[in-house]
Amino acid sequence: MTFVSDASSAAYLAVAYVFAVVLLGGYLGWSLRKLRQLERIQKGPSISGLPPKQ
Amino acid sequence: MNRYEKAGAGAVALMLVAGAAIFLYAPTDYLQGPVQRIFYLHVSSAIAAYGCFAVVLVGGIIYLRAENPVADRFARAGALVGLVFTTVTLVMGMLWAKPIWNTFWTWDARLTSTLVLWMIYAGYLLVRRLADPGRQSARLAAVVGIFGFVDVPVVHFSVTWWRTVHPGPIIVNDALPPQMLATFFFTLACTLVLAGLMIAIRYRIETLLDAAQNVSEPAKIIATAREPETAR
Repeated sequence: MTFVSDASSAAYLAVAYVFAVVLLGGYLGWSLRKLRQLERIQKGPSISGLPPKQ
Repeated sequence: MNRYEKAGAGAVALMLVAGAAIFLYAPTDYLQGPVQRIFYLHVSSAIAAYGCFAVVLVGGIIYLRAENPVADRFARAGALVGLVFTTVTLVMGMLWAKPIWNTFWTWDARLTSTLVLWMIYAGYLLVRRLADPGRQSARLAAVVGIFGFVDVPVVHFSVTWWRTVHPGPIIVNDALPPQMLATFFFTLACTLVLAGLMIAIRYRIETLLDAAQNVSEPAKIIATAREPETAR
């Protein structure tokens, strides 16, 4: 193990947390958007001609 | 705003509080400096990934025994969310390794077994995507998910079974000062809440996709059956 300067250490720390926020936040946002789209489709007119599920 | 979006906002708020604890409350490590703060989310993500893969294991076993579609949907959700958390673990680990070990990657037992874990569940999702949806692909994926879980204890105990560059267990060895320990457990709790919510959202997506497929399949059959009539 090496002693690390605070500046370079902080840079790696920042990149690591930015990556985590982008990936986890991006995935959460994407899945919520996908869910909203699917629920909108489900509530729309069905192909069977039956009224949509409540 | 539906209930999933409200829960998502709550999970984000919890993660922001965890972030504040990591950057403002936890003390800076004397030896490693600020980069040691990667530890809190790196380890929490790894534990969340283990939990997600345990969902795949249990879902796979239940599906093989009872062919329960709910179990299969939970397994699919667990695999995807587990893969996301394993990616976070791997990348954060690499960014922590560079200033400490002077390299992003080394073929150490812990790192290699974690990469293998990532590949196993990426393979699981590939099986689900490439195979025709249905009983056969669900059974195949369940087998991959069950055998894939064998790698989880290998990853976890790799640091005690083999000589590794990766540090050994520090939580159970009581090697952290109380403030760091409190920050770690709080971050872990928030990360597990986030992972649980992500699985719940993905489960709902899988349910809606299955329902859409069950509607469209008979529709396709009807359309195919009507084609000769219209041709005449």
